[in-house]
Amino acid sequence: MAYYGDRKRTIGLILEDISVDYSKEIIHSVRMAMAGYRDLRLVVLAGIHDEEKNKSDANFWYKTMHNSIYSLEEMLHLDGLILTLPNICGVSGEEFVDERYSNFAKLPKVFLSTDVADSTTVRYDNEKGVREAIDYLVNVKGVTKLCMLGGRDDNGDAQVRKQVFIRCLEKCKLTFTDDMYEKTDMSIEAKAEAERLMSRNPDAEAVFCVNDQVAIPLYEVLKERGLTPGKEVQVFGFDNTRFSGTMIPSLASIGAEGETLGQKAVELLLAKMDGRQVESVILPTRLYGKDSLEYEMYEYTTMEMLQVDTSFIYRMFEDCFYRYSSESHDSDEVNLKRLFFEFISRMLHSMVSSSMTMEEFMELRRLITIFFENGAMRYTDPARLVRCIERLQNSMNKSQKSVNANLMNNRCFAYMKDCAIMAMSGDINRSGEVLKRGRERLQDFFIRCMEFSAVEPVTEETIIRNCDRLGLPNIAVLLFEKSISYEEIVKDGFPSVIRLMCSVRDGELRVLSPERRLTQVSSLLERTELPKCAGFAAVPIFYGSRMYGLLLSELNEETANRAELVADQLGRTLRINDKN
Amino acid sequence: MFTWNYQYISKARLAATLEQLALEPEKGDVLIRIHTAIHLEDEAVELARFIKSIVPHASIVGTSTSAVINWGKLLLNQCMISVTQMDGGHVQSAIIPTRDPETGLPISVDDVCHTAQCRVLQENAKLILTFLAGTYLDIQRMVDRSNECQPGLQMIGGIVNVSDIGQQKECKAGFVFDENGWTSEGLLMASISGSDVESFCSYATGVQAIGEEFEITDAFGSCILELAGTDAAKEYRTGIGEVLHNRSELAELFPLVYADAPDIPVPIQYVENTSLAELYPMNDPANADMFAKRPDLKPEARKEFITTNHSVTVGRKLRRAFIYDRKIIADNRAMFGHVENFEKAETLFGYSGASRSLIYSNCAKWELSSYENSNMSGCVTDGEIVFAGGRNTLADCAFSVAVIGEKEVTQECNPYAFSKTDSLAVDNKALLSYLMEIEGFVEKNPATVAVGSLRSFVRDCEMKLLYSENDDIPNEAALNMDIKLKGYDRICIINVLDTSSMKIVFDESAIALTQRSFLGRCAEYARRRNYRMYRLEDWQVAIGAPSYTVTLRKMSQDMEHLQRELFASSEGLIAIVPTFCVINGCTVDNLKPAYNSARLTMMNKNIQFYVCDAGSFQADEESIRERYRMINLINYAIANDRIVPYYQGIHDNASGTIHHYESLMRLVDENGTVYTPYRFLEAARSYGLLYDQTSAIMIRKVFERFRNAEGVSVSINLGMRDIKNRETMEYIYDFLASVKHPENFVFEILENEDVDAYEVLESFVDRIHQLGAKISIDDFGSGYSNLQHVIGIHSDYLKIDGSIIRKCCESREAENLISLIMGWKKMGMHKIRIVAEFVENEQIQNMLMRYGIDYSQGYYFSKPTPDIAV
Repeated sequence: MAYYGDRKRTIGLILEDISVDYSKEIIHSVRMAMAGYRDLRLVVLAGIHDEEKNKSDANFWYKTMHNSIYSLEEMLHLDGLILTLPNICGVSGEEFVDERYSNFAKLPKVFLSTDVADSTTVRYDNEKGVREAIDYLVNVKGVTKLCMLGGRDDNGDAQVRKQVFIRCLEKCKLTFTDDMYEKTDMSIEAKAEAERLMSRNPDAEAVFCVNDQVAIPLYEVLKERGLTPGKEVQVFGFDNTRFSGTMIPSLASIGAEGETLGQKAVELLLAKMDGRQVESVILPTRLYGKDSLEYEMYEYTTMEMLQVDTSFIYRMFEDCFYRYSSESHDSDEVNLKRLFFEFISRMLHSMVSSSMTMEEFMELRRLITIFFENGAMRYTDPARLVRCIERLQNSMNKSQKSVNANLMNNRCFAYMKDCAIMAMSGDINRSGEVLKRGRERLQDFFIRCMEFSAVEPVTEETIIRNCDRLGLPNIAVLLFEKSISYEEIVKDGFPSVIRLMCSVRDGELRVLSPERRLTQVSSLLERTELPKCAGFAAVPIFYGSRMYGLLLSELNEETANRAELVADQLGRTLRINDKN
Repeated sequence: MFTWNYQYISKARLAATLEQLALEPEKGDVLIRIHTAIHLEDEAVELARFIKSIVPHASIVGTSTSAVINWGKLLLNQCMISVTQMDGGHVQSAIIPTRDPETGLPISVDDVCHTAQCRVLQENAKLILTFLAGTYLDIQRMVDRSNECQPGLQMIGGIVNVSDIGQQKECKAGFVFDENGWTSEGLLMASISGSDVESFCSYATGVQAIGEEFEITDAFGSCILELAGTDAAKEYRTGIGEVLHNRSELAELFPLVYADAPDIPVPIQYVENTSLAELYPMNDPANADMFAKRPDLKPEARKEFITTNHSVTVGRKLRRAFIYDRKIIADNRAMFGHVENFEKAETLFGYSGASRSLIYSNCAKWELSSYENSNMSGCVTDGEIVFAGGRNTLADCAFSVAVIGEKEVTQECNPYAFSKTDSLAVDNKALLSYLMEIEGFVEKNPATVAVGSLRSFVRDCEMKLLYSENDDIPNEAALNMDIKLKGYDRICIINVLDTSSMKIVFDESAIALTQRSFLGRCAEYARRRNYRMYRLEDWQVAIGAPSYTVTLRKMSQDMEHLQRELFASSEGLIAIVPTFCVINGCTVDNLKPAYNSARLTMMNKNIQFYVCDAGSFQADEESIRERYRMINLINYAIANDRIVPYYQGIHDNASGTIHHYESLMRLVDENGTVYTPYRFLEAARSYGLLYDQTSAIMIRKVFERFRNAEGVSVSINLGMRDIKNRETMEYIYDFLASVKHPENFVFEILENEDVDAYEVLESFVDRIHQLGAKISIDDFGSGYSNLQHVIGIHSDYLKIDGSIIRKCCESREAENLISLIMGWKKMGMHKIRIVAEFVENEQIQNMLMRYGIDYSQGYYFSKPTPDIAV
């Protein structure tokens, strides 16, 4: 009577372009939503968007090779799928799904931002946020000339956003002409389009960008024309990605009002996996005002402040650190919300009671330091935080009763701003540092995997023994018995057996002995040698037309940027030493 | 001197008792005290007369009361009679009126004192029992005057009250009586004198004065009108908080004290919405007189007042105070020490303030518990006269004790009571929760004027409550409060184990030094890293922080660091092993259970550092529900005969036939769903008796099925629990002895870590073999089978674990194991047959045949089913 433990359930997340901000947000929110479930595992299979059909283009072949990763989804034992494939819209969603996922007819699936008939989908309510923005611009700011930088024709969301934009203008009794619209490829390469739009509409008072990315070229164009976003031209984007807050000036953007796409998708998928019926969901959106378009949801009233109302402080927190509530928080970490409450309530109390001692001030400083040291800035944009602080500060100064307490409070506020800036610059420095170290290590990896006549010849084994120098802290390298060509993949798919060569756990390399390596692709995620993480990104290792295997990397912000590059380099190195 | 305390039952029994006592009037005087909570005034006098008729020469002193103290126990609604026979001393008693019946005015202090001196005081007087009935505002002055006239003469007694049951309209305040009558407006005094008589008085209050002094700047009668120029009642209320409106008993908890006697509470009553005219009715000539002297007051103005039970003197200074458990303990301990050391402890008088039980319901009982075996007697009063610092004074809420005697005698007292203060700790919690309530009130109403002073008062009270006795480290109460109010939910408990064995080898000073160093280093480290430290027990401390200031990881690192620091013990100290347990997500309720579970884990695994989540010890809701579902299922199955044996055929590889079966337990619910042990066994085991029952039913059913079977045999799984179960074993032995083919029965046992008693297992195996049945070892190769034990069992069959068989075609190692087992079989001294389970396909079966495995079991041959042709 022996029993075998339940295995973890695996959710696949199918994406195109892991490195774009939209995908990063999706991965982040899915990860966050899954954090509460210990028996779940996430595998991200990210391809690259391929539009061009020009087979003589090297880029096309690179993308095609890369996208063979999608065949993994059939081989892994997945329990559920989340798909975000905006490019399938033009191809007729159903056909596409039937063709590609016929094997998975029974597998629970949730589609993101995609219209697929008879399937569960989660989409943003494009209309609500856009209407909020346009109503505000027209009715409050008195804007009469609005333009739009649109998206690809094959992108459903982009098309809907355009329609919504036109409808909203009409509601506000403004006419829409084609001159006011310019289509883009939705990437940062859209400078020419932005230029055209601004040339046709030099008097534009506001521009709506179909997503946050295209605002980057628009900013450049405006700058060249001596215009400042938020002053002469109001600009707002869509998706409210993290980087929109780091742009200068920070970009106002429309984003989820509460639950994010990823969160909702996980929720629905789990329900489907448990055999429950679910309905497709449209998530409400709202405008997040930033420097490029100032817009506030809440006012801080003196009354609330004087009463040191608990819910008021928490609302202030939610307003200021608006990303906090949509993420899951590990109970091991510092509870930032409570910490914020702790020092803000003490500051407000000191205002009411008209006194703050030096000890109390030092304690507040300590708490504020802890607050920012523990990643408070992850949940807001610096500009927004500074504005929130200033608003609170102004209200408090207005209702001050004691010079001393007020002075101390203002010092606290000043310190908060310092901390915020320091935390931001620290992050930037750190990520620069990480990149630099990563590059150095990667270089080291190349040197060690190069053939020098004086040292023993480089073999596959040599490469594997140096995998900890690839610069990713948690990875597993899986190689086929021998490299295979693209034609073979198209004909037979991926081989069913693969070798788990080595794993790197927290930077520590473990090379498996040859007899332990062999593993079925279908059960490779069950291998206990893999790094202990809740999610992996699977990236193909190939060079030219030879496919070598897979790189599994822990899912985090860094992976999104670097796993592809690392796999690429690994493929290159393997190719050089490939005797076939 | 000799004292006998008697609980009054009936006159007849009283008479009999008094006879038996054989009092000797010629030897010395007799004092008889009556404290009654059951008699009405006239009945009481009647009782006194009855006693007087039996003991004509006795001095009788009687009071009403709300509860009596008899042999050191507090008894409600009883009457206590205490008879004291002096050896040579004298007793003189009298009732002295305090109000002139003709004028209705109080009699002056001088006159009362004079009467007392004439009628009660004798030469060599050592102790005066003094009881006051009714209000006599000059009582304090009268006591003071006695101090001046007879310096050093001790007094004990108080203001009498009356029980709720015996209460009558005309007599709300209690009465005193003797055989000549009763009064509710007078003093009853009795002096005890004699050259050999010695007495000692002491008291305990538990009061701690806090904060600055206030001068009484205006007063009216017993009413304090102004303190330091502000309205006294308002000042008092803000000092305690608005909750006082609804909970006037809090006045007892936070009394005022005179600055010159900081541990003696002044009886304070807080009244709302009343007027001086109501408090001091004009129809009382004494009051009319007082009002006449104060034309500036508005007698009809309604407001709040604080009053005492004596005339208040303007110019005296007051302080705020509060009563808390540790001070109560300390006071009582000090008093107990004195009482215990007093040589002539022939008789103990005890008088306890009624308000003591109002604040701390367990307080009075606990205080008395150390005197339970002594002859202490007395009663509960509404205000006590205590002897403090060489003077008698009027107190409230005190426990006062007098010891008196003529010869050296010791009483059987009980110092053990002082180590059992749990009941007080319960009271303490109530006090703390009240303080927290005030804190909450302060948080919510920061604009209230008095917040500043109130906050500092609350903080002072908490400081007293929350710190350990001998050092300034916060205690467990402080920990609980921080968890509750400040969100301290990451707690590391540091415990030094085995400190009792330390005492055997090392002297006390070395231990004390080590302990100080341990505490000091923990405290210092905690302070440096912004944690808070609490002392829970002598060698147990907690270090805590809220989750909003530190990550669990950082805290664990810090604690590990501290542990290393503590390990690196310095010269001259005893080496100690502090264990650290970091608990995340603590609440007041789950901290203790979580620590206990963690401690168990730590002990089992012998680890000294452990990080855990308080919630993780609590099973999640779904698994709790599942467990109860399974328990219900098992109960249902037992009650409704739904325990069904399934049988899986075991293939004989030599003959190619199936003639042996393994019996497998299944439960069937009311819907017909079949459950395997995988679902219910865990639950059944955790409710041991359920396991025993299901197991017994299963064995019985299998036995019945195969009792007369010819040519087929069956295996039955037995756990160690079954083998230790006498009843089950007897049943098996009896059955085997009675059956025709005992060799058809095979018992499968698990050789794993559950087996804790090999001699039991071996004797079972031997017995089974004697009876002709067989033994099989189950799941060989899984878990931690001890090969030596496997050999020792002399089993007939060996079943290779399914996990090995399953992999044998893919894994060379698994195959080698099978080969090894078969090789061992060949070398074996006695014939053992090998069974392979989980034989799922032909490929596996072929491999097993190659190695010559005797039997194969698995889906390839047969699935478990309830229906077999036997």
